[in-house]
Amino acid sequence: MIHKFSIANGHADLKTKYVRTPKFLAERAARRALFGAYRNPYTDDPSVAGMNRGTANTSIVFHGGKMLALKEAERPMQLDPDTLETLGYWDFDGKLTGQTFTAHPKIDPITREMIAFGYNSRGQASSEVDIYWISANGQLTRSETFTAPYPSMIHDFSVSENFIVFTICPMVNDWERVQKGEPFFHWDSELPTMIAVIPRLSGVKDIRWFTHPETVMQTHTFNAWDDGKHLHLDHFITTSGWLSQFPDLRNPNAHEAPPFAQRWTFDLDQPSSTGESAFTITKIFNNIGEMPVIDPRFVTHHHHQYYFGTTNTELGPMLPFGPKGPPFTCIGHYNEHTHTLAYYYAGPDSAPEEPLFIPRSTKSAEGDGWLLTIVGRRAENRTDLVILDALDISSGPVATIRVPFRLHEGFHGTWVPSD
Amino acid sequence: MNFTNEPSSLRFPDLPVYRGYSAPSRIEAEVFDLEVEGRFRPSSMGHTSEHVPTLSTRRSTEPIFSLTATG
Repeated sequence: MIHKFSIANGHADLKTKYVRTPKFLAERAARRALFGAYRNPYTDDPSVAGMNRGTANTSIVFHGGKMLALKEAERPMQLDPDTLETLGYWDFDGKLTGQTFTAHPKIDPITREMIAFGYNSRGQASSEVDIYWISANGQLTRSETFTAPYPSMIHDFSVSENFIVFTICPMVNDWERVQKGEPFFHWDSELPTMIAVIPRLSGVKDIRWFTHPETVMQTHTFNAWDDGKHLHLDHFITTSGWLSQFPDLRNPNAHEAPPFAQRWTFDLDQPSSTGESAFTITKIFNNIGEMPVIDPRFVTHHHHQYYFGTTNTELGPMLPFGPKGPPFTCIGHYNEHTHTLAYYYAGPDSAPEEPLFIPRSTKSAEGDGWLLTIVGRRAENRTDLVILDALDISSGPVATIRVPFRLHEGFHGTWVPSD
Repeated sequence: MNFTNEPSSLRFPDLPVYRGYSAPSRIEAEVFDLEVEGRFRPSSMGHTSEHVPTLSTRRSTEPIFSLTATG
């Protein structure tokens, strides 16, 4: 389902609408669930065998004049940005080579080029990863394929001015297990975490692989940048898999570890065979977090303002764990210039979701703008859209838009200016 | 008539993902003019121009989109 807030002249309107996927339409017609577990067709009703199982429910992007609802297991679903009507799967005029497309494409703010990828691109449990270069006007101009060391979830990636970087983590996909009705992914702590560094210009023929000294998982990325010799990745890293969603293959009693923001700096003059000496790992700030966001004008370049969902028990108690783990109670802001952390505490029984940054103007300084977050008011079974001054989030909302009912918690959003 | 005993009636599974605050909220809706607390103040939003995404002074709409997990 899409939630759209339209804001102008001090007024706000709301539209909510389901994406009409083939799965949605089939189940609505049948008035019952026909599709079973996450990405596991062997748990489906026989009447929908072979049918597209897509849900188009992870993120949304507006690029090249098209609004696309994204889920990493399927192709993009195009929507009408005004009516939210479903227009159908979009294959970039037949140029999309794979059947999958990431929910986290990156848009270069200078060139407006969108870099995207699809994993499991040659079928379920395949190790092939397709990379897509999509021009500012939405044309898919180039695609290349590389093979990952094992088939696994590749939820996010990083793009700098000169490189495309994948952190391959062992949230593995074993089709024999899927056929037995087991979860689509398992965390295999005995496999290595590997990093693929691919030049944006020359592509996969010049791919370089690095091996992380530990087995870790990248959850979501802030950004990446480089100066040609050093490549920096800022992202949230956990020492476990997403165990709230998928089990540990080796230790069924393992618990999910909290993610911390890390910077990985690669010395590109060092041969990758030197192992861990080829890159350094530093913690960016000392607080857990997830759902990272930066000022989108700094994607692919060095940014200094970090926004994320988090908790802070000095400001308010943790909320009861939900099916996706502990809810956020705060939005965090780390300023790398001043090395300070600031928090917006959403209030008792309130859980903010992923923040969204809107610059004040095209020429304003980094971080000068607004931070938006949808806040679940759990005690009231209702939702707010909260607007914060992005450089002063601890002062509380500049404005709060009250929704008279509960919007189901979402994953990711975007902002589209009227022009 | 007791609809809950009808074989074809909808019942969500008794699982955490369908309970409490995580319960499905399947409302397709249009709400015109939501209540706003603390008006957007142009003076606190800086200057405005055609490229300024201020939340109070634009003449046309500036949609903000968010996608839920309800599928």
